[in-house]
Amino acid sequence: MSALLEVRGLEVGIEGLPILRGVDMEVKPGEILGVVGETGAGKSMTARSVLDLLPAKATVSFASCTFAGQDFIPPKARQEARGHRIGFVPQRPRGSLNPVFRVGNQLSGTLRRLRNMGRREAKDEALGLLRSVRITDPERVYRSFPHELSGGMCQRVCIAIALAGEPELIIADEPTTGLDVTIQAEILRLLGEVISERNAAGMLITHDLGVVADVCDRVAVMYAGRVVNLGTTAEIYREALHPYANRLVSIATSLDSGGTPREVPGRVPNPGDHLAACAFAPRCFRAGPGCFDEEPPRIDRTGQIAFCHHPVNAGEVMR
Amino acid sequence: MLSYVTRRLAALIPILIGVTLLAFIVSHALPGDPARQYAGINASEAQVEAIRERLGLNESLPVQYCVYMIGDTCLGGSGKGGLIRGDLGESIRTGFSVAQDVGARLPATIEMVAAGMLFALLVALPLGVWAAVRKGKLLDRFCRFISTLGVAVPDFWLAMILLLIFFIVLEWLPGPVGRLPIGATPPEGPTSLYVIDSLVSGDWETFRTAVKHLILPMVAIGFPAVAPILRLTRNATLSVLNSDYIAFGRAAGLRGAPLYLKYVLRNALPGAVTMTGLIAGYMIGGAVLVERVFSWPGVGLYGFNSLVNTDYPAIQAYVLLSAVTYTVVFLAVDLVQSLIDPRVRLK
Repeated sequence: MSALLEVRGLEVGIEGLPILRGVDMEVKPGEILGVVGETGAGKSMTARSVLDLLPAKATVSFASCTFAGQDFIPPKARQEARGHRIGFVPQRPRGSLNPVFRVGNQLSGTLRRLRNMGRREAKDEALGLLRSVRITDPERVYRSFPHELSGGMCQRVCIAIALAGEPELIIADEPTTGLDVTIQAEILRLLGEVISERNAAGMLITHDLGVVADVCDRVAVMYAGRVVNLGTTAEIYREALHPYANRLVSIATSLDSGGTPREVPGRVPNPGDHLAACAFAPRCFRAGPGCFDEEPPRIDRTGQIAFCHHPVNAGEVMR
Repeated sequence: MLSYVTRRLAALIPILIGVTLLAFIVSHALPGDPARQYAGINASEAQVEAIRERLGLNESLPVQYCVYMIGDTCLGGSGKGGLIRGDLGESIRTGFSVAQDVGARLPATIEMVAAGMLFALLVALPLGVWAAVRKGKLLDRFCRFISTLGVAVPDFWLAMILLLIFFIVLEWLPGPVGRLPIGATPPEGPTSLYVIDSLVSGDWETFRTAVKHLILPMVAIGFPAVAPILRLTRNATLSVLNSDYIAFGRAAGLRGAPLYLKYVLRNALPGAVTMTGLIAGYMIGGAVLVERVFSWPGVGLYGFNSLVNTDYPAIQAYVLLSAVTYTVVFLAVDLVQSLIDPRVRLK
């Protein structure tokens, strides 16, 4: 099946510092792709590149970028897709709604803009959308200002706004940042549901691997501006090839089982730091001399690919 | 809302009493003797004394203040006059009641200050937003130049330069003769704002003339206000542009004019509104000199002439009017603020 969104060789720099260094990623129709990695890995930048929402100082280049067969390299194509073809669910939902307008006004305004609806029609549709994101009293929420709603409620509204243009792809950029832990799972489950209800595809950016296991079909693990491991959720969780991805998974599962996770030593490199050929090599317990000097080869195995000189072997117990 | 306004207006009363006291002391401390000025150069000492007697200036200062505030009951009279009865007294210079004098001149000042404010806002708000959007570009730098110029240039000097250019050299606009050419009949109308009255009655000739006379005073009083509003709008817009809700609005397909005029400006407005209030107060002060330059028959010019002639009741009325305007403008600013931003609660 051909990909809905296909990104090849995405490079982003800010003021000359490389942020993304050749990101390859695709989202297939109807699937939810999880994008994970530590802060600074370039997850959000990848998503924002697709919508041409990077800061003005950023420079972007693609080797290729297509959306449902359409060339997505021209910025105008990506701008026009905003809302219409690609819905976006933000971080920090409370700050993402305009504080001076009523929530309903923002939602129906989006409907009128994206779907050329009249006032009445937009209001009815807006109430329907609020109901579809499991808001039990849509009339009250419709009349509320953002500061009168909880963070979780604001995120439901943001999801409704993202759905307003009936997009084929929903990109959620760390949608639970700043929400109470108790409702994080609820919001993520909701996202998974509304995406599959609409037969849309999703890209879920998060650093919470536990979440990915519940919602996503495939996972891309990013490190220092590249995708280092990509595969089906089942395979990545069973046995990720890349030592970094493998360690992230074992941290997530040992947290889930109440154990004490082993941390990944060292820290994430900053943009502009000198990077080894494999950027993870300095923190990797498997690294050999080749890791620092030679580009890591692509390893293909059932259900996943990784870029690594010393991939984790089948059945090997990670220490 | 209504109870809020009532409480704010009630709080005004002690402030205004303080203002009357201050205005009374300051005006009486001024050098000059109104009785002597009223009597003229050739008057005899006895005549001056008689006038002083009639104006009540021979009483002690506390008694004079008392008469000004609560009328002739202080002197055992029948209870006439006094500020508490709404009587501002009689102008020594013109011989009319001060209320009548001020009432006749107020529309001229309102017309000029309102036009100046409108001019300042129409220039400063769009430019401020635009400068922020094009931060660091040529337009932004041009705006910074305008702001610096606006702060550096005093309004009365600008008034004279404008007259020099547009009246004397280019001869495009009329000279400093007031609101209409000398001898012209003012338009009839309910507002006494010539531009509006002539427009309402469809008197195009008068409308054009009134507008022409208004342009230079408007720019002279409005331009210095452009600078602070422009700078404030630019900075407020910059922080709004970096906000999460603008990023999300963009991601939801919002762009172009609706994004900037609806989303951005509305959020950048509160700061500009507060600044506008401050400036409106400043403009009332600035009106004195600009009206003087343009012979604009407003309360500023009236205040100026009263000051020169030590016309106590008129000076006091002018100071009082300024104080009332200032506080009413600030009340209006708070009300507008609560309309713009739903998070602002009046209490």
